[in-house]
Amino acid sequence: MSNLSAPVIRTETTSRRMTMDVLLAALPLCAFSVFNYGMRPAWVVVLSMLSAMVCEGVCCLLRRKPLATLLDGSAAVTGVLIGLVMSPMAPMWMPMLGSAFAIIVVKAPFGGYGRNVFNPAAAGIAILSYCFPKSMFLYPAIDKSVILPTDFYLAPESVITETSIAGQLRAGANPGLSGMQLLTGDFAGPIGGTATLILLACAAFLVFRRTTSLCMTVSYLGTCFLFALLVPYSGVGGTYSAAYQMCSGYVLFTGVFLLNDPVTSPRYVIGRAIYGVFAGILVMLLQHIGRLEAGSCFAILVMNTLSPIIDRWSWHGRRRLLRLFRMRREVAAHE
Amino acid sequence: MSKRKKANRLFWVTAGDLVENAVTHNVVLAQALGLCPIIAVGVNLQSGVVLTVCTALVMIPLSLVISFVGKHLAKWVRPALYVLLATFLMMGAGYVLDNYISTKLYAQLYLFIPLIAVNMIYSRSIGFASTVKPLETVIDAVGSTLGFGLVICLISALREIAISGTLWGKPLSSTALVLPEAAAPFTAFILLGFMAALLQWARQHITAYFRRKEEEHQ
Repeated sequence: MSNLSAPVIRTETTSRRMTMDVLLAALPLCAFSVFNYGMRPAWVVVLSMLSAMVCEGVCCLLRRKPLATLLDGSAAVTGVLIGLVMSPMAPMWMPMLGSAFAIIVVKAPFGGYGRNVFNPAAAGIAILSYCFPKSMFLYPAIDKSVILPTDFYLAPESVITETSIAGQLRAGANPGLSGMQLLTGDFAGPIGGTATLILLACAAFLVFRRTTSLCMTVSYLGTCFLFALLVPYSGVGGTYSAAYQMCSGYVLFTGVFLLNDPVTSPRYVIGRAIYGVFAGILVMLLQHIGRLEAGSCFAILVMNTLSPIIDRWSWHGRRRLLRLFRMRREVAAHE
Repeated sequence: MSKRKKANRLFWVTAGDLVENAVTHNVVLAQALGLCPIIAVGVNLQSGVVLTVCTALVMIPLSLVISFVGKHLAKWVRPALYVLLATFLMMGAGYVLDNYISTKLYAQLYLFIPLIAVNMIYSRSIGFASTVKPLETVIDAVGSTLGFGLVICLISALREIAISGTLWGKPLSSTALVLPEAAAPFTAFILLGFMAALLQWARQHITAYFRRKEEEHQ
């Protein structure tokens, strides 16, 4: 009887399982884009992932860590997420550069997976959208008969382009899409940001697998939707405007993939809810008044810096609440 | 002790002092002073060099004066007097820059010379200036200036190459890749971060080397 162990949680929630879940969730998004544009989006994502993994390998060697650290999949996730927000016609060096930046500058110097302060994928996207806004936010029009060539560099003149929903809303135009189009992703946008239904299914899958937190996702999406309802764009009706804003590419994607990074988000449930609410407000504010369409990445980076503080507050708040309840109970028992 | 031995010892002590102030206790990378000018105007090599000259013009006379009179002043009055002194020296540096170097550069940089002057008052070498001999303070001040100059020149040169593909106004090659966005503050922050990390890594070895040399020539 002496080798009985203490009761433990039986599910294997390892970091590897979580990253594999995210990679799995990214597959249908990628497949949807391939269905729309041909093989080019798949190449963009794969090259981005490979670049991230090579950089991680080099950093592992430099820091004298075993190369097996690569197998936890965090570098692959960073690369895939950066690939997923690229335009399908983006030059291939762009996501590769973003992934390399994310790993070499944002992740490795802080001590690798589990110690990074900022979400590497969000930082990579932010720097790309700051440095190359022209090729970042130029999307090809959806036309099933046209297949994008898989050249390394695609001249923008050779493709019929279309402004994304966010761009049209900013310019004060009405995108004029039906609800069905919005749900099925029948509009121009980043590789993984248009398929609203698939994104929602991914969110459900990740929440069900406990890879992401229900609390954070729901509070973020709820806040975004409320904000979009309350602050519509001029020229577009209230409810429709909210739907457009939610589906405009970056907002949903951020909520499902970037916000829920287990390393850079708070640990406590209350903290996660607060984090989601603040992130939602900040994302929508930046979507409205920011210079760039990818304002949500900057919002995530700002929130990352606040996450330890939010965690501390929620820890203290929880303790204080518990103490209050305990005192009440004791008083009641006494009486 | 022979003359040669004495000279050797003096050399290693001086070199150790210089390196200590310029590298291991670098004003920017170890003490985080003078960050603002580097981040804001460290975008071409010319302004980097000019700011270094201005720092030297403020720093060396200031530490010399402090080492002469610092001891005789009450502690509470020292900071105010140091700031006053630095302000006078800074005006002199501004005058030299405006009249003898370049009016255009002065127009760009005049905002940052006071910043440097006041920042340098908090540096390590000024802090010690009132307790050591004048010659040693000058060496400390030169070391600090060199350290600041090294960092700002390196960063501004790298950024100038990235922004416009030129160095000191001359194009490096005809088909240079340029990234005008490198003028944004974040590039300087990232470069500074990596340089500070490198310094932390190299610091122990440098200090140990000079300590060993000094002991050898004891």
